Amino acid sequence: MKRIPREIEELIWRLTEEGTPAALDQFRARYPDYSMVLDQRLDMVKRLKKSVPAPKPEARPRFRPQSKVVERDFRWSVPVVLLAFAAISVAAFTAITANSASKKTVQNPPKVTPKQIAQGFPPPAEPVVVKQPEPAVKQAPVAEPEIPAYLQPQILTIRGARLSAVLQAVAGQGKFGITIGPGMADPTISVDYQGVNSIQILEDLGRQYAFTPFDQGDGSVVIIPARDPNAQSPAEKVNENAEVKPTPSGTTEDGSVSIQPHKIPTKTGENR
Amino acid sequence: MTLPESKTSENVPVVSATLDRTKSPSFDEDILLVDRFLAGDQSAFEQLYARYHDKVFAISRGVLLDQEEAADAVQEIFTLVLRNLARFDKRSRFSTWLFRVAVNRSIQQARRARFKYKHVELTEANDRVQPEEPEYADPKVHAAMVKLSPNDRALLVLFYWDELSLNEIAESLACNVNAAKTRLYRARERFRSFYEEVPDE
Repeated sequence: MKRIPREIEELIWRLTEEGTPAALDQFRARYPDYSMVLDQRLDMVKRLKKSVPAPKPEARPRFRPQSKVVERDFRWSVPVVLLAFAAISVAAFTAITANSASKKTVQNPPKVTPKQIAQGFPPPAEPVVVKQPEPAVKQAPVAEPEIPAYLQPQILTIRGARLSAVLQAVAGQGKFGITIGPGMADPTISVDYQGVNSIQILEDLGRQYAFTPFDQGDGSVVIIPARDPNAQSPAEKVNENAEVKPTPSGTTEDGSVSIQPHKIPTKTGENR
Repeated sequence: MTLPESKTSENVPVVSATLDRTKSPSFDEDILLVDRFLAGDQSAFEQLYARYHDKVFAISRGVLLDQEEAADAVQEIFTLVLRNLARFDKRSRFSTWLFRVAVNRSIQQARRARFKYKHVELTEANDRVQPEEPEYADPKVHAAMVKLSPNDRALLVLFYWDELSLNEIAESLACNVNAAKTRLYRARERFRSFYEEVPDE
């Protein structure tokens, strides 16, 4: 059967609803191909309207209020609530399981002593992360190797103090012991270091006041009041194995560290 | 009605002329009866029942397609109306509010009945008492109506049997007029499709 164009279809429906005989005749004259469709549609609507059930007035029952009329249809309510509860439970269980599976055991590397670093101890290994069998959702933060105190940048500002006191202060900040050898001069000095570590401070003071710091390997340093121009300083040894970042002002073009202690003139600031 | 001069009627809504088809003259009387009932006059509700029984029965009968179930549904619908009449806010007509209750209740019942009859044993179905007189005026219309969904049946019943306007249908279905128009158009098309499938006797 040929498909009826939408506009003709709409027109046929409209005519079947409210078409006058004249309008129907006009349609038949204009669209003879659809005349039969119009007649069929008119018949269908007529039969549909006629099939309305009309109970006889005498047969109309008296109104009897029902006592057991449920106002809402709970037929689907219970299953829906149960399904929702089950879905929430499954989601919560999945979330908890995934969370526990993502936990990792982190083993920190053994701590390295200052002596080991000064002697060229190999750089600390990356922390070993032991993964659980389940795929991890979250990645555990990687523990950074702990920087020893004597390699950490220091701020040391002392005015008008003895050299021995300054050395003790440097050792105190670097958390290592210090022993000053006999015959060591002990002038009154002023120092101002910023952003350099304790080893670099000792090295710089040694160049100025003619002494050499020796690492004893047991967390202590001995200050010898003599200087070997060919000897490798502890700072140089450390720099071979550890990355030291002095302040920009203390870095030369070739990358070596050059520290210029800032001396503040004081009343007792003269070197003795 | 005369045909438009243009070849097509694209700008003419299909059922636009039916918007003001029914203007219930009993609008004020309904409200008066509601007020009287709320004031304690029980006979006022009897009058509302008598006035709208046939229309509500037509809705239930058209949606449920069963005489007895429709009769029971009518009693339930009026019971619900009786219980909730105090909640009728009078912004709409009493009739459309009543028809909305009737449509919703009948559709609900039809879905429940469909679920129930899916599980009826064949022997049990054969044992059912046959009606004394033919229940359906037109078997072909009935055959097509059976294939429609309860929602589509409700639309056709409201439009063709209760002769409500699109505004009233929209209010009865709690939707806007355009939605009612679209839904009615689709329901009518589906009915036509099923109707044409049924062979003539």
